[in-house]
Amino acid sequence: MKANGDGRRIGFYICHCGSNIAATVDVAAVANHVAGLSGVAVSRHYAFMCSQPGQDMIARDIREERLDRVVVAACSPMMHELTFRNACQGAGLNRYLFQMANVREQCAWVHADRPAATEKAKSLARAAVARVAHQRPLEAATIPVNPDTLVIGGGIAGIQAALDLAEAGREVWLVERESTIGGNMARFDKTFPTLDCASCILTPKMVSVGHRKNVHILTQSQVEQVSGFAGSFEARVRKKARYVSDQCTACQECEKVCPVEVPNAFDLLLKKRKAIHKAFPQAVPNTYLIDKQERPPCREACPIGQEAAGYVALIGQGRFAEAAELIRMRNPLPVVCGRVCYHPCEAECNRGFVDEPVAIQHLKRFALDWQEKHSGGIPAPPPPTERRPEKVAIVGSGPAGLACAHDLATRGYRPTVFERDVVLGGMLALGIPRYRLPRERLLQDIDFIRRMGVEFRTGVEVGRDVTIGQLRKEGYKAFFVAAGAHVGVPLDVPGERLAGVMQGVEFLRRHALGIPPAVGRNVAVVGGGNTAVDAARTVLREGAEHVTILYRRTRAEMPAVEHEIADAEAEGVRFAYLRAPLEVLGEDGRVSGLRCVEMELGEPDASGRRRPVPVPGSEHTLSFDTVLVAIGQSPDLSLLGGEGLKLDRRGTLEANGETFATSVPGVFGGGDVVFGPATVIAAMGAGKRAAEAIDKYLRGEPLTDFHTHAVPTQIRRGESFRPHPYAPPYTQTPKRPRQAMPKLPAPDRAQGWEEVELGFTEEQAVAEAQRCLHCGVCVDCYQCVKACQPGAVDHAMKDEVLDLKVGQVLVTTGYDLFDPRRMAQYGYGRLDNVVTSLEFERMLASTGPTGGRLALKNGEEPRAVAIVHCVGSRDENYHRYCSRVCCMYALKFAHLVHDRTRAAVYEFYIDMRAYGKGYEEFYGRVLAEGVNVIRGKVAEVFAAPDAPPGEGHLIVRAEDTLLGKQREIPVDMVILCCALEPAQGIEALRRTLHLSQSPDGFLLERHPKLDPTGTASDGIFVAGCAQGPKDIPDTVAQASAAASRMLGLIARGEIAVDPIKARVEPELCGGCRICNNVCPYNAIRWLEDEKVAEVLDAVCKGCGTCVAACPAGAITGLGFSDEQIYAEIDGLLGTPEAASRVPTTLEARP
Amino acid sequence: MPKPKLAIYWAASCGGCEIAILDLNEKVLEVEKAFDIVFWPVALDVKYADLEAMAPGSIDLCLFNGAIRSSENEHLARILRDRAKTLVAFGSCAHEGCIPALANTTTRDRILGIVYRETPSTVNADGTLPARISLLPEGEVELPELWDEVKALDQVVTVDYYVPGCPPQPHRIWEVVELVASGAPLPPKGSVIGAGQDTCCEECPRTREEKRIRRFVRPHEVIADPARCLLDQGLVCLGPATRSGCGALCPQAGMACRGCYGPPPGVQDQGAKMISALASVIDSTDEQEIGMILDQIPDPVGTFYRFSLAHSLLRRVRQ
Amino acid sequence: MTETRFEPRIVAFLCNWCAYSGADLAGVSRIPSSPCVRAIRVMCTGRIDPGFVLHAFASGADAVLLAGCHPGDCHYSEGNYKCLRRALALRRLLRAFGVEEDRVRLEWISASEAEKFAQVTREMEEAVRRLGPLRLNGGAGPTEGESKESGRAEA
Repeated sequence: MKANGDGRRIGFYICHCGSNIAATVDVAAVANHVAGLSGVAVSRHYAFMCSQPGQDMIARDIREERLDRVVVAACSPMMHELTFRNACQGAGLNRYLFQMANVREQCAWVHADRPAATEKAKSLARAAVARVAHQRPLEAATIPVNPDTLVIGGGIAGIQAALDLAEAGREVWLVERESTIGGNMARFDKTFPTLDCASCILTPKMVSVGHRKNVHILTQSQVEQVSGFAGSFEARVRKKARYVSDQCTACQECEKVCPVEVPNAFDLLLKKRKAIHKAFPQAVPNTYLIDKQERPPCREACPIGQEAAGYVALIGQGRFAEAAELIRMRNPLPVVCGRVCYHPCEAECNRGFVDEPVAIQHLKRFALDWQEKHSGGIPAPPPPTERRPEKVAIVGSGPAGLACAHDLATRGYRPTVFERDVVLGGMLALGIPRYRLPRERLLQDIDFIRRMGVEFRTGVEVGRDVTIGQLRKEGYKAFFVAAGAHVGVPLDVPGERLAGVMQGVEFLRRHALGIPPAVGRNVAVVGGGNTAVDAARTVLREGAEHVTILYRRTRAEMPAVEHEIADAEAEGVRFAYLRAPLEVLGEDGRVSGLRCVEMELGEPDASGRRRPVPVPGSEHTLSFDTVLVAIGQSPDLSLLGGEGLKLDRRGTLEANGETFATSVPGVFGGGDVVFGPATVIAAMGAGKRAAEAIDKYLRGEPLTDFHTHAVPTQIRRGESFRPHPYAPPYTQTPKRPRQAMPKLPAPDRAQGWEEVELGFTEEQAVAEAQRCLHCGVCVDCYQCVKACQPGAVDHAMKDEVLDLKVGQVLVTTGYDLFDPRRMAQYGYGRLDNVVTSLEFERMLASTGPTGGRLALKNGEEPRAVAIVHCVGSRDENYHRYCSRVCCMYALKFAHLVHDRTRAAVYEFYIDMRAYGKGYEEFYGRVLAEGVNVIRGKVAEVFAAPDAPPGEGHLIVRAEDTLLGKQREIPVDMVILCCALEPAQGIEALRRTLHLSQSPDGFLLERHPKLDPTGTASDGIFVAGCAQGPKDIPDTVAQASAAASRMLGLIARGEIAVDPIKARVEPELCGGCRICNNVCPYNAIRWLEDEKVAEVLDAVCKGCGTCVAACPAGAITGLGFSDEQIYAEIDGLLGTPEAASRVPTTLEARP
Repeated sequence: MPKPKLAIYWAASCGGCEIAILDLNEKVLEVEKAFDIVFWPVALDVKYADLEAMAPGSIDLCLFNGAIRSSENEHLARILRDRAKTLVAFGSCAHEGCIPALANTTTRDRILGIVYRETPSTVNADGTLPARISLLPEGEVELPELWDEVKALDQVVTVDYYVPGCPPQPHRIWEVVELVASGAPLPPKGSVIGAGQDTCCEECPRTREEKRIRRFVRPHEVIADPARCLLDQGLVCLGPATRSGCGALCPQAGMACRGCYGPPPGVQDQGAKMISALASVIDSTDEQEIGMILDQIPDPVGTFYRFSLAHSLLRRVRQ
Repeated sequence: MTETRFEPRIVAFLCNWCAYSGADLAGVSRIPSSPCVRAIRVMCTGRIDPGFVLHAFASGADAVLLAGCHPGDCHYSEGNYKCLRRALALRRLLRAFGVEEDRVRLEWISASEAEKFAQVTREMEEAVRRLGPLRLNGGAGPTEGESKESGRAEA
């Protein structure tokens, strides 16, 4: 065979398509032109090629004229290629020996100039003829159809389709983004024109689809990716955690105890719901869910992950006992924390963006004090769930040691705590003065831990009195070293040895042990940390006359807690900032004063704080009789060093940052001894983590994926964020100042040791707690867990990812309502009582915010209501299309307003569209009820300047096109009939499924008449408002239509796979591996031994990109081969001879 | 029976093809045994007139090397076509234009201008250019006309077979000679002989991976890994778009294939194919970045059509 | 074929899913487009071999349009990116061959952008009319006329 059509018997047919083509294209001329082309045996033109006679003509010619190729010039191949292929096949010609020339859509319909159009038609015909000569018979393979179906979108369309499919006994996966199926229809009250209530129609369908064994409803789920082809798709679905399992009986107990309330999205935020909730009473699945946004920052910031927002919310409701219980659930030293916690939670509190952070720490103290006073003292510790035999030794009874002991006890161990001092508590007892943390308070927490089965051994110093080695012999399997940092850092200036110079920590320690050292009357405290302030306030209480804190930076840089500094000032402690001692001066061996130098702040140092530098010539002398040094502490590891534990450069114990394991197996370390002096809560966090690590170690589990909380490096919050999606911006949140902590008056408190802070009153506590913004909606108070008998609540639930295998996909994602804020002139969001149609539906619904009562913001009944049509529809500026349902539901609204109130109703319409069955009659009926219809578009809605009594509060200005004049009509309420828009998120889904959209943004059907529910992609269907605005009857009908289309596919059981695929000619493949990664489906496999590539037929989708990429010309595109396309180009340009340029070797190929 | 008659001619060529024939070494004698060499300017003193005198079809095999660049080349091509039963476009010049065809990136007049007037070493005060006919004391002297466009042999006369290569490899030449001498049935006219069906890669021992190109490099910019595919290392190697047959000499010597064996079967335009292949595996979807990567290839015409410009779809640079 | 009046010949390679459907929609919506533009349907712009474009030029086309799905919309995920890369490479090659850039145009046209398709065809016709026909010197045979150009030189 030669490159041009010689030796072929090609039949050519051009269609008049009535006058559609013939009017613009001289079909006879085209037929004559083609008749002259080489290889053309027959060339005809006919009125309707797609008609039966037309198809018969082709069949007859194939038989009688022995045609071996057929070309039809008519409409787009998208339209009738299939028709003609079938016709050819019917007559015994391979269906792929047919080619179509598009002379209607792409010629006759777009050109006015007849000669030009005819010329173009000729060249399109030539191209098709030249191409078809090179086409080869192809056989379409068939694959089995997976009978399962994926339906995306659980509105009425999805439900209907699912029911139809289920009815036929098929498996259906119904994927819905929201927490319930039902879609927008579930929001409606009544439906036009029959006025039967929406839920009466919908609910039974929802229930029945919910009960079908073969319908698998996936709510809170989204389709992330879809691969494969008609008959066998694979879909990946992400199902968001619901935190309530399907054991839920919807008994509502959880809802009652949930302390958090937010606006309900289902009710368009008009009605409130709890954090644990159900969208609406008839929701399907009938299962509650917890609205968990991001974790509250207060909890994230807490080293032990204390549920601060949780107990704050409970306190806000006066549920003090529950609050205290919640605190104790996680906190090993609740009383201590209530008093001396550094409260990093408050630093991260979002309330700070409004006014001041919530006083979380004070609220904690309040709850525990309340518990002690009103619920019979400290509760008994809960019994551990199991008993662990292994002995664990804890070195040090500070916050880290105690926290570790507490958590080990809850895990079933009975650890022993070794304390070198006679008192327990480490720094809590020896560092923090009594006026801040009364000893009996500390003992409450320690005693609680003792009652959990923890043994304490005081006066035993591990390393001296007993070694870890010996303890191992005694059967201890694991150790936690939390010896703290009790050694003061020396000033390192001359004269430090003089009598009267003392370390702050040492001073506090001896004081706490009841052997206070003698101090003078004029005391200097050097340093700016909490130890310095504590020492200063303590020495003041010891009777010193003057106490001065010398600090080398300014107050702003002081590490001590702000309110402690303030208290110290109030008590009379003096502060000398920007002052550094150079030498301790003395007389006969005793301190007489300090030689100091003034400093100024220079460049910031590593810690980010500005480095103090001496001011030249500013040296001076201050006289003191006592100097307390509090510039830092470090651990005393002199003894533990002997245990073979590695120390790091900073002289602290070396331990893994995550597992806390030290260099010695079985020995863990945490708290100040590892990290250097830090806060109580940080030490506790370390203790809890260590407990988990030790537990894992003893169980022989790997020291990975810990559950104890670790503070994230970055907590996501800031001005721009909101506490949760329904919260107002910080700027619009009403300010409410923080409650002040009542304290002993400064003068007298400085004399004694009574606790300075007195604690909140109940009123204060509740008021303060109610300032909380409930960040993240669910605040982890776990009341629902307690309330749920079936035990369905699980706060640890995780998102699931499901991989589904289905044969076909139906998209029924529905619509969103146009946001009328975009039309400022209608005042939505600015004026009260201007509502959207959907909001009005909710207002009408008995389950809605007003329980079905028609009411204005102020609760009164409206006297006049305006209903505005075409808001966003039929509007050049927004949507040009008609939303089709507005006119009718607007009339429905009119009827219902009349039905429920005595209000006058004004309908502002452009054209009244009542096209459906019974619609016109409904229109007539509503008119008869006395609605005022005004033909004209509303120009604007504005508040009546000074509405006289009896007049409305809003004025609607519109042109009455029938009267031809402007009208201003006073009303109380305006209902905006908003356009139906493509659902938000459809774009992402469209791309996932590779679907096209029509200009209006809705999904594009394959053909508006020939295939209204199909899409360009085989096996993927569309129904309902995802395809375009339509009412419920049309939606349901279309859904059923789609279902029957899919059932047809399933019934056939197999589907033909387009043979348009790539194929490698192994003898031509040089094995360069260019094609290997051009295939988006990895359909090209590299055969290492043969050193050639191979196309996997089943995977190849026939895009042809590898054909174009193959530099050896070794890959053929079946149905779109190079020779075919080169010939097509030649034909198009009328240069048949050029075809011979195609290398002969191409011809040699099969 | 008489020995079949053989003619060998060089048109616009470098003589390399002749050398390649001599590289048959002692086998050259067997060529002489097998054929009666009637015309071979490089080796025999035969005048054009003698050739013209020969009867149509009187030569059994003509190995024609060199491109058609002048009236003389074309004249000889027509004569030899007429006198030879079998005309073979021998070597890259006759096959697809080769280096001489790079003249198609400019015009004859530019070339003459540069060569006879503009080069610094040229002294040509009155700017004389070669003329077809010059009157000299001895009489009228004629020079062949230099065509504006360099063509491949088959763009002037019908060619029976093609032997690709710059130059064709001796063992390949020997195959052809044996084939014709044996009198065995020859492949269909228009076929490429003395070469393989697949590409240079097939003969290249280097190991190839999936291609993902983020940067193109030039030979002087890298020391190529001796074992890995040069293209994988960013060197523009035309091997994938070049017919096999040479034994992948250049890649084995560490030099990227430059494509002298021409396009493989089924490829119409070697350069376009190679560009398509390379662009396909550029590892970027950002228009600017892609552009930057592509700009790392200087002189696309010279790179992708070094040997095949005359035979390419566009044939020459537009003036 | 000798044209009395210059009629541009523009070949359009349209991807089946977006551009071709867009062109069809232009028809259904009766949006006038240039009759000089004639379409060849390919499944994906990724199928378009630069050779097709050169072949079209060599066979007398004055301009070529490549049109497919918008980035991210490709029915085959990334075919349009392959086309983009090849088009950029081709553009550089054509520049070297002295062919004006405006003679090759790459456009992303979705199935709904009928107006855009029609617009592009009209623009291309205008552009080509401005540029005039593409005369590839390669096309002409050995130009005997050249002998006249060089005169005689006397010595």
